[in-house]
Amino acid sequence: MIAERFMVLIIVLYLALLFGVAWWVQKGLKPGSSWVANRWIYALSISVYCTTWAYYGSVGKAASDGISFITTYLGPVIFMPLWFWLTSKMIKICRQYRITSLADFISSRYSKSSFLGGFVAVFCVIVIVPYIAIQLKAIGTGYDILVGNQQQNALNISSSLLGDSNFYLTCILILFVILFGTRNIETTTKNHGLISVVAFEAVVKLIAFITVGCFVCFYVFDGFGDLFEKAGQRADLSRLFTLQPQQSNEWFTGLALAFLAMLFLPRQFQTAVLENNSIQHVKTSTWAFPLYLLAINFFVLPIAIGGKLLLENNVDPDTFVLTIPLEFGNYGLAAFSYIGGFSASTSMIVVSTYALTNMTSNNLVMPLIARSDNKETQISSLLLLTRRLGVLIILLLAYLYQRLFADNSSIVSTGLISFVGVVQFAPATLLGMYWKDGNRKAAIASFAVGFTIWFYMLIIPNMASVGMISEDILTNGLFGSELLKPQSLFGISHLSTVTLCFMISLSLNLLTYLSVSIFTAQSAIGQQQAELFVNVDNYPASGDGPSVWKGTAKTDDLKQLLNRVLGEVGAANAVHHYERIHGDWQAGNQGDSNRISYVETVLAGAVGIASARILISSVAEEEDLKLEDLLTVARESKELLMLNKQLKSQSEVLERTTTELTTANARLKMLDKEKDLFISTVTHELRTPITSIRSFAEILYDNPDLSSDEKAEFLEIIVRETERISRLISEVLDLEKLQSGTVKLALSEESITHLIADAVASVKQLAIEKNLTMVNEAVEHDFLARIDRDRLTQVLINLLSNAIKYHDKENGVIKVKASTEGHQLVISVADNGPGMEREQYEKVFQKFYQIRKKDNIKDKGVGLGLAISRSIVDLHGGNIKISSVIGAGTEISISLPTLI
Amino acid sequence: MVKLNSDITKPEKLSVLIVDDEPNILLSLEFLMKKNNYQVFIGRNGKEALETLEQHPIDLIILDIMMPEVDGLEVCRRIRENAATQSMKVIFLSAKIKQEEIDAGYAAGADLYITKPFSTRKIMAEVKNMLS
Amino acid sequence: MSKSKIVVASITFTLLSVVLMSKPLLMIFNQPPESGSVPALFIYVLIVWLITAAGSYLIFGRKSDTKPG
Repeated sequence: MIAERFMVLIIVLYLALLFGVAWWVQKGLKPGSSWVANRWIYALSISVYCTTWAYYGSVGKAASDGISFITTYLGPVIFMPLWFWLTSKMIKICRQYRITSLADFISSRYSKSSFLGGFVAVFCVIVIVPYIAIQLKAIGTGYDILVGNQQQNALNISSSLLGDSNFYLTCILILFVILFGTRNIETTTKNHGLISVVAFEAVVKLIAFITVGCFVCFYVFDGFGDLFEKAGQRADLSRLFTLQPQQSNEWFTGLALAFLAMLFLPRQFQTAVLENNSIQHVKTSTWAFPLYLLAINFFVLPIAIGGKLLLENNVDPDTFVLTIPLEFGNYGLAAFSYIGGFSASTSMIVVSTYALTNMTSNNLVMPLIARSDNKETQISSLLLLTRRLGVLIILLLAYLYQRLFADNSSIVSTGLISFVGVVQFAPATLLGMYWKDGNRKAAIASFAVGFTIWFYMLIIPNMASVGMISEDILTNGLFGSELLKPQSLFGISHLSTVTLCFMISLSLNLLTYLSVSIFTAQSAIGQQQAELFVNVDNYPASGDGPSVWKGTAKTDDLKQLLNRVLGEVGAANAVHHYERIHGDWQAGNQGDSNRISYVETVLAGAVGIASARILISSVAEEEDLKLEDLLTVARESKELLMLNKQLKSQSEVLERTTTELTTANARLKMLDKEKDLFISTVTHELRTPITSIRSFAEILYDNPDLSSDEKAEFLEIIVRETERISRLISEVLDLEKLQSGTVKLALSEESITHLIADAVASVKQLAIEKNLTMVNEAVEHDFLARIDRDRLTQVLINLLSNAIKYHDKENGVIKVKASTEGHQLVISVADNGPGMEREQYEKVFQKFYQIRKKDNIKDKGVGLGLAISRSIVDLHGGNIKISSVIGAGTEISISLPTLI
Repeated sequence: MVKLNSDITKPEKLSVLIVDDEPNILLSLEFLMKKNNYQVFIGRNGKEALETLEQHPIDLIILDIMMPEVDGLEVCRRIRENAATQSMKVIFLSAKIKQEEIDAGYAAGADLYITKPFSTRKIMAEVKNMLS
Repeated sequence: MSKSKIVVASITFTLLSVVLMSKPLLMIFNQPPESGSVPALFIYVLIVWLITAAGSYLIFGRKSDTKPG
């Protein structure tokens, strides 16, 4: 046994740690976001689903009923994809309409009914308080076991309150929830501190349980094989490995029950829906949460079997995770295991209490306050007080329940009763999200039916067994009718009471909901809310949605209302946010329904939808809502969405057009620059010959006594320069014609060999002058091609004269060749001249570009020759290539695809 | 740096240096200068011009701007930097006719900027004027 | 995956899981184990569990994807 002081110390330290974590997270918060708001914290917080039921109770159930215990956890796993869609839609709805709890959700969907909200709140308290109580009990029992106390006789009410450790614990938990759960007026703000503690405890309980599991399997026994073999030798244990007939009947209902409960347990709604920060997190949880469940359930059956094998028969299997380590003297592990169970229990208590107090304050108490509002009281402080009182009352109720009744109920059975209870919300809520015709009357009726059956079949027997009512009703049935015995209604006795209750209550619940909806009408506000819920995607997010408020309200009244509920700062923030979107707060006529609707939504985040509605109607004069108004709003919002889409696509088109225009503009500018360059170059080229002509003309005129030699020389220069001008002009025109595509080639079948021979002949004289040798190697084989004779000759002459012009060696050689490469005709002109730099290969084809020769003597040409040649070759569909080695020579080759 | 060889005595004729890469210009201007009794030196680019300046004292230089190796503006600047040649007359003769180009010419230190095509009569009149 | 694909995948997968957990299939594995080995049902449930988790991962991935309705 562990010393009591030591246990107390451990517990106190752990609690301090939890407080510390919550406080640290809360402190480190930046407004609006937090690193804590990540997908893993979210996934862990959902595992608040695993309470002492998972930690202690499952082992107990496994020890008696074998593998069928797993349905509670397998259920959610199987339906995970479905869970995703339902939860996502709920999240969207809650975010958009500032819903603060499950009661709020249901109340809001069904005509913002405060009655329905209150009903749900009360029902939840009734259903969940026992569940909280058994968590407390588990803590107490575990403590007693570790410390070695005889279990206190709980029915002895004279045993002092102060002597009961559970009482102290309850007080501490009250403090915790108040500190971290009732800070903000607006319950729609996320509780990062609270949630991080829950996530932390989720990790602790998982590790603790797995540690104990490993201890049992691998330390005490020699692995799974050993464990199962030893169990197989005992009949009472080997039957645990298979499903017994009754269990297999109830297998599937067990799965369905667990799944539906998982959706509607207040603590699940809180962590999975209300505290969610992003739909992406929900996606991660669809696989992360099942894995967590797998991990924590993996060792349940082994521990159960192990305990049965190791311990006496009178040891409660629920406590195996503690008693097995104790049996082996491993106090450290036992304490650690206890902390795990402690975590499982406290996280459930904290979250559930928080959820319940929000429900009661917003949906039970607030509407009453709102109705009797005297327009003076500061509602914000009243609200906080209500919430804190709520925490106090709920936890004290749980404590009392635990003291009075808990002895008689096992963890699992109490848990199952709560499960069937919350499942009653399922038809109205789920159908309410997808079927617009579900109305308020139907919801009330379905709850009434479900609740009654639940109460009759599950609560009455409990009450009878503790002696609150006579046992007659169990044995004889209601009104003495055998068919109405609570535990086997309608005479069905082959199913367990829980399963039977689940099936009957759910089916009657559903049936009632559907029939009442079909046969009754819905109010206008009901239709509006139905539309907003079912078609939540059609409406813009976050509170500035379309409103069907018809009425007037003074702006000052609205502002005052905000002050009273949110406090000065909160009101100012709300107004500021409004102004950012809609403009001036004061502007617009008093009938501005946008403003009224906005205020209503903001208030809802604090006091719940129903109360908000009541408060607003106290300052506004409402007119009767008609169906046309609703339809107008729906139509308008659809139009808006459509216009928005159109606008988007139009702006895309606009963007594309702009890009195209920009490109076109850039090209035009470039062409413009080219044109400018062209003009300036041409005029520049013209200047030089004109200068010469003018100078010499003047000289000839002014100096009549020139020698005839000089006269001849100067006149010749004039003539030459005139020719140069003409050549320039005609080449420019020629190039322009070629490049603009106005030239049509005069194609004919020609002998290439002849063409080459003619070209060579024309330039022969030039070559001789420079002492160069022309070699025509295109004589052996004759090629025929379809080409423009004159043009191609022009090209050849250009290439040849370039080669001659730029040759720098004495006795240099220029070769002309012709050959075929595939279908191409290749003509090349090669020389052993100075060669060309690589950068110049392209440049030489540019207009007016001339390579400076070594002796810097200006060339007589214009610089357009190669440009023209290239154009001509291009028109033939071929291309020109240059290859050269500096100092060794150059080869220019033309390839034409016009071979015959 | 342009050095002046002090051993060479100043000749009686005034000397003119004509620099242009266009042979025709050189031809026409050389004829005109000789006819007016100036001693003529020629250069086909800036480099040759600078070499000539080093070897002979020049009174007036007619510079083309667009030339290979060293351009006319650079030659003018160097003339102005050198104390010995500072007072030399510089005439730019260029096909660059834009205002900013003319301004650049004067900024480099020219005494006169004449655009091509030019009048032989005008240029001779200017030369005579500067050298008298 | 597009949203409609995810919806259909979810429905199909849920149906598959339900079928895997239905009575007939369950009864196949509902046999007592040979001595020394782990019960068949235990392993079957384990495997189905892992399959559903893997399926959810494949359908919903971790990041990106379209917004649900």
